[in-house]
Amino acid sequence: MEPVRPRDREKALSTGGTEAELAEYHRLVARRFATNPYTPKSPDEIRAIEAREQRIGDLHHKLFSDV
Amino acid sequence: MANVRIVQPGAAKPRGVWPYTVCIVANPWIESARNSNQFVADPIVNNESAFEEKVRYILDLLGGRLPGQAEQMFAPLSPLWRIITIFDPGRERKGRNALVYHDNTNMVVPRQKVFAAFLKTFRLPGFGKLRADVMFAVSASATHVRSSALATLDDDDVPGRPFTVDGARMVHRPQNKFPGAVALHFRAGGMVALHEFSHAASSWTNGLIGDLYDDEGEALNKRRGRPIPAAFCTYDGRSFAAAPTRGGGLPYHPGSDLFHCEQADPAFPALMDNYLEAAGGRAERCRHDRLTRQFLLDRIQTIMAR
Repeated sequence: MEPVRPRDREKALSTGGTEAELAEYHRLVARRFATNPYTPKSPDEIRAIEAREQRIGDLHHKLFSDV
Repeated sequence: MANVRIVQPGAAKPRGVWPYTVCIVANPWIESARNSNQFVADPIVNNESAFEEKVRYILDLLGGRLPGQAEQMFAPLSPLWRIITIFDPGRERKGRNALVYHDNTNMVVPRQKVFAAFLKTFRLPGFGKLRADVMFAVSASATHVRSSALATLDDDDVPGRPFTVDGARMVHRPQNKFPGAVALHFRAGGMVALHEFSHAASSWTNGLIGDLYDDEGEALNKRRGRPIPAAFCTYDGRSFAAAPTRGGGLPYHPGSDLFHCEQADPAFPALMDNYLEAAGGRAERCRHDRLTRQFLLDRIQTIMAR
């Protein structure tokens, strides 16, 4: 995926985001794109994916909604 | 009225066999959220000149022709590829015509499962139904501007060229079930299309090329451990060295145990790393690390030889 632009990262940090939240955001999005979507998933894995997607959305809103 | 164009026919092959093929499509519809089944028109289908401009950008970048571009590994190969473009503003508002979805951040993401079926709806005299090894869906979404890609789903029932990575056996497969898929925003420039192509040209089951700027995720081009060893891996009987830094003076992230393969040019980060952090903003100087380069060349040349 296309990296976050450095100026967007700086703006996210200057408007209340933390390094830890940015790191978590990047980690979760990276996991999305590194997971083979065609491998059969157990119900627990499907729930974990949905929880991950929810968290990605929440973090993006917090970090980048003003960017 | 669909405008389907053979930009170049590619290497001559026996009837029914396609050379390595890249299709570039103006995305007709966007699924407004993942699995929402709600579709909005993609503005790119109102702007054929913008689409054609993006086609030229993609082909120049794959061919190593952008000003100052250092990574030219596909330049000798790409003249032998089949290149097809599709601009069709008349597609129905249906899921099968939505090649991209809006994710819950600001990314356009490929709906990879519909790519091959979409192509099959087009038939050209002398070529038959369209197919691809990698397909770009170009979007002009007004709200989601970051591009992304998904690796190829190989047809693992088709024999190919075996190789090993540190003893683990994989196969360069010449056929796919789903082509590698890129959702490319029309504002994308610089190294974006080549970075995303390199994800898409890799494989979910026979070697994934991942982002090097993220510590998370397992991929062929990422290893973990501290201290960083001298060797990165042995691929296809050849040894590849590890990179002591990310290149261009960039350190690995604090607390991370990730390390990369040796860069082709250690003065700059690798192309799958954050090329936006290249010294002086010179992203065009970034090249693939040595393993990624050899792996992609071998994989694509295996497909070209089918």
